[in-house]
Formats: sequence, structure tokens, C-alpha cells
Amino acid sequence: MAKILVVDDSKIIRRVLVNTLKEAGHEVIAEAANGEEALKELENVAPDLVTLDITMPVMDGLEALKAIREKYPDLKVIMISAAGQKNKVLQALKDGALDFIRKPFEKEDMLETIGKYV
Amino acid sequence: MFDRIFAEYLVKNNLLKEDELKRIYSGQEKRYVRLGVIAISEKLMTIEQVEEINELQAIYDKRFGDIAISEGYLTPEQVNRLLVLQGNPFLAFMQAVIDLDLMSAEDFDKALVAYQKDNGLTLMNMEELKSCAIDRIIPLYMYDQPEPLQALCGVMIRTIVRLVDNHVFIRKPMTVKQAHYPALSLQELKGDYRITTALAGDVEETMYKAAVAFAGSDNIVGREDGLDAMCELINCVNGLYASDVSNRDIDIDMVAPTSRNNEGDMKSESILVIPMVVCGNEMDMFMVYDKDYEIGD
Repeated sequence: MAKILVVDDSKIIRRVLVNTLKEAGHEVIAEAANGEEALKELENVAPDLVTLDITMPVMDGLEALKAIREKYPDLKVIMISAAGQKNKVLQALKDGALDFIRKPFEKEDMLETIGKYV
Repeated sequence: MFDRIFAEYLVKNNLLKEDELKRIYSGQEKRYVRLGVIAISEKLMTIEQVEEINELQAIYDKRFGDIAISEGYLTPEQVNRLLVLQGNPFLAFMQAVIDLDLMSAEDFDKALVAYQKDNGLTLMNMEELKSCAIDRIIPLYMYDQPEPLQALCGVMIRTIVRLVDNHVFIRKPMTVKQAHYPALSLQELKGDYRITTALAGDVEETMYKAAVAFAGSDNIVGREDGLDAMCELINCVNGLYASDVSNRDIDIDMVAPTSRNNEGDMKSESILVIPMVVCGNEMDMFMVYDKDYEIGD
């Protein structure tokens, strides 16, 4: 199973993601509420995969993705998006994200998407 | 929706008692079945297909029947047949009131006529209300509002019906320059349209109940979780709206939502306040179209 960093400004979404990932046997090694916090966490932890929300304050998901790809080019990133963010999702995939999960998500679908890469 | 709106009218005019509503709604529920369940029962769709459509409904703000048609599971004729079998929630409400001997059919009809007169409505308006179709009811309440606000309000109500409370209803909107809130969750849309949408309500009662319905009780721990969940709800609604208008080459972007845990006032040149009843409690939707606003203590 995988070590995962969960990044989302919504505490609820983080809680749902963390609980679901843990129940599936993954280890959530850190959480962050925006891109800036995520980069700080990455200085101290080494996840296998990051789930990265697109719309966040301080530093959004697209900006964080670019920084992650530059500093940690082998780190796998899956974007979390709302409906209506098709252009941002496409941009993220061009910038190196592996896949995306759309909110609100079914837990099984979320686990299936993550399971493809870990 | 009109079943709940009319129920409130009947109670306010002493034609029904508040404590009779629970029995009426229970009787009503027994008479109203979801379209997907009927499709399974009629062997037109499998359980897996219905679940797939339910998931797609969360992504696209479309009706069950419309998605089933576009996915090739049902024909328009089959959807129409299912709708006939499903019946109408307002008629189910009326039937429940009559079956429980709380009002006669004649008195119920008189009350409808009185409602029409009291609200200055036409016969066509009444048919639209009795259809309980949200996309026919919203324009009646928001006829004087810009199309983007009508459309976004429709998405909000349909999403609340699907994810939070299928008995949500609205009251007459009003336009104000200052709107008070006990607590607030808010998100801005910017781009080709600039729209700010907020949900305002008492955290412990309204927001918390709606949050549990939306995100599940396991995930709602404290007061701020209620506001957080409402932010996610608005985010979901705005995403659906943005997705829909992108088909018309209208480009809008979502700013990260924000919330206020303490009471305060929203101020703007023009705030549309749409009172709603969600999970049995009052919550307001605030909408500001293409104007600056302030929020604070």
C-alpha cells in the first residue's frame, strides 16, 4: 500500500479522503490545506503519491503542481477537481498530473483511480 | 417543492396544524417513488445502470431521465411512461391530506384558489407550481432577475434536492443592500460572469443538519465543519453551473470558498436574498451579480 499526502483546503474533504484511504490500507503521512503548506510538508515527508485539490487559497493546485514537478519530478500527483474545471484539469494533465478525481466522489471510484498508480 | 410551499400556506392560514404535517409527509412518501426505482421495477434498467446514472447526476446538473436517454438506457417514450407511473409529489401530498381526513377535496381546492389569489398568480402559474418541476418554479420567483442568477439558483436547488434534502423549498426572494447572517459560507465566480453566492444560517441548527445530510455524520465533527461542508456544497453547485455554461463558451472560474463563523452583515449595492427551508430549518441564499460586496462584523 502507499504513503499519501492529502492536499485540500476543505477539512471535510481531507477527512473523507484520509478515512477512506486509511480504511483501504494506505498510509496518509501528512495533510495540507493549500499548495504552500504542501511544499513545506514535502521537505519533511516522502509520499508515493499526492492528492491535490485545484481550487485552494494562498497557492492553488495548478501552481503547486508546477512546483512539485520541478522539485520532485518522480512524485505522482492526482488532482481533485470540482465539475466545471475541465480546462484546469486538462492543464494539470499537461503539466504532469497523472489523473483526476471529480468532487463529489464515490469512495470506490476514488480508490480505483488511486489504485491505478500505486 | 410546491407541496411544502403550500403546506406552509395551509398551516399559516389555520387550515392544517403544524403537528399534522409529519403524518401527511409520511403518507406522501409512501406514494412517491424515485424514477430509477420504477425503471428497475419495470425491468427497463438494471440496478447497476441506475447507480451509474445517479453518479452522473452528481457531475451533470441534469434529470435522471435526460441522462438515461443520453446514455442510451431509456427512450424518451419510456421516460414519459416512468414519469406517469411516478406521479407528482404535490398530488401525493394532496392525496395524503385527503386520505387522513384533514381536509376534504373541495376545501383543498378552495385553498388552492385562495393561494392563487393571495399571490397574484395566473392559472398557468399554478400549473407550473403544481408540476413541482424546479426549472418551472424558479422563474416564477425570479422573473425579474438576470438569467445567470436564475440558472445558478436552479442548480443550487436541484443540487440540494439531490444531495441534502429532497424537500427543500424557497420563499419569496427580496433585494436588499444589507443582509444579516448568523454564519456564512461564500464563493465567488469570476470571468465572463461575476457572481457571488453565499449560504447564510444558524450554524448549530441549519448548517450542521445540512452538512450531515451532505457529507455524512461521520465526517462532521464540530461547528466549523458545518460551514466547511456548506462551502463544499457551494463549490459543487458553482462547478456544475460553470460546466453547463462552458457549453455556451462562457468562461468562469471559481475562487476558493470562504466562511465566517460569527454573525455579521453582507453589504452591496444589490443583494438577492432567497429564503429557503433546508432539512426543516431556515437558510438564506445570498446572490450578488456583477457588484462589489463587503462581509464582516
